[in-house]
Amino acid sequence: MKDETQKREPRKSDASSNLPASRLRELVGRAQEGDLDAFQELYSFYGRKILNYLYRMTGSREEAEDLAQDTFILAFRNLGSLKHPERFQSWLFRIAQNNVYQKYRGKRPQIESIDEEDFNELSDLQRLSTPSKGPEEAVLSDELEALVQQAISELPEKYRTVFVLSAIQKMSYQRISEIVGRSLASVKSDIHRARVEVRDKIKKYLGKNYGMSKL
Amino acid sequence: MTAYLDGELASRELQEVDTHLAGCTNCRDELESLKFAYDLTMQLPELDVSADLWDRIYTGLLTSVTTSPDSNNFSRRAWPRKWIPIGATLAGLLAVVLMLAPGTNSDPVAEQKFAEFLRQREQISIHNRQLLNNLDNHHLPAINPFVEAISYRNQNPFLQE
Repeated sequence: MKDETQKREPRKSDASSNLPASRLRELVGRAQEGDLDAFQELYSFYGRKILNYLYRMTGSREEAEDLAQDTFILAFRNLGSLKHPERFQSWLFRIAQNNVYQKYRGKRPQIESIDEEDFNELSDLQRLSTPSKGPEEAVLSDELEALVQQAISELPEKYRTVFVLSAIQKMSYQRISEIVGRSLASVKSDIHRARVEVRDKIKKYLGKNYGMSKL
Repeated sequence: MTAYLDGELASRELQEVDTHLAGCTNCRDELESLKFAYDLTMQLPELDVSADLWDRIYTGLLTSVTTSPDSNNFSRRAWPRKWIPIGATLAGLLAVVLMLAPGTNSDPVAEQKFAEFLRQREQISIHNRQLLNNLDNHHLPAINPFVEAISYRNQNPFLQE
């Protein structure tokens, strides 16, 4: 019989992690009139999401901050073109995605390769994450984080975008479809391929270094 | 399988997958390995936003306002170029009015001069109105230039010769 704990609970609606629609409309409207205080409030809400999206897309905090800066400046300059304030988040992520694309046009972000000797020093998977915390709170070791980050960074950009939006930002497939401008079916397919590819890379490392047969 | 883990399946599809998983070891193993990688990804730490990021953005916004006004939404909305000459004219007029207007703390000599200016302006205005009234009421004599010319001709001694 299938282990019921394997099944993930349906993710919460994106609306729960968004500003209330009326507040969002008000802030976007004021920002469109040049109100920097309103725009700062939008930044306060979405800045961290954008920064972390860019961080996982680039693998570099410095690059992520530069791109986040560009994203918000570009967003403010072009707010007048946003006809539907309720789509602000999707619109903002799309700008961020375009910035990444333009910066790394045709090439992947440079991520430092993982030092396999470091991995060999670890005795088992227990050392890779803090065992005292639950899965949601566990903190990966630097090495394992680097492994997962490298697996993400090696994805083709098309897959990397949808993977980060899905697995890191925990967005619904529908919202991801809005951001990347592709059909829902295409997004579903790409997320699956990305997940399998990331899984295979992790499996390869852990299987090689830890003999983890369960993977 | 991914949509199953992401909770993106409709209830009917969910039931179908559950039924299949119950009888398929290979798919359960596949699901387990995907979930393991999924959980690792979920544990990636999040960055905190650095304190100066907004300052950098704010500076960038202000810089862009002064350097590229045509492409800047903010600058177009806050400082429309077409209003600049009108605004400058209005500001100049306001300055003149403020200079001429008597203030509570203004110089008594200046106030006296201003009062004199107003009195003279009123007198000029009255005088002009009187002139206009005189013009309206004055009946100029009917002068026929041709009659005058004939009269002048008749008085011309050379022509009379």
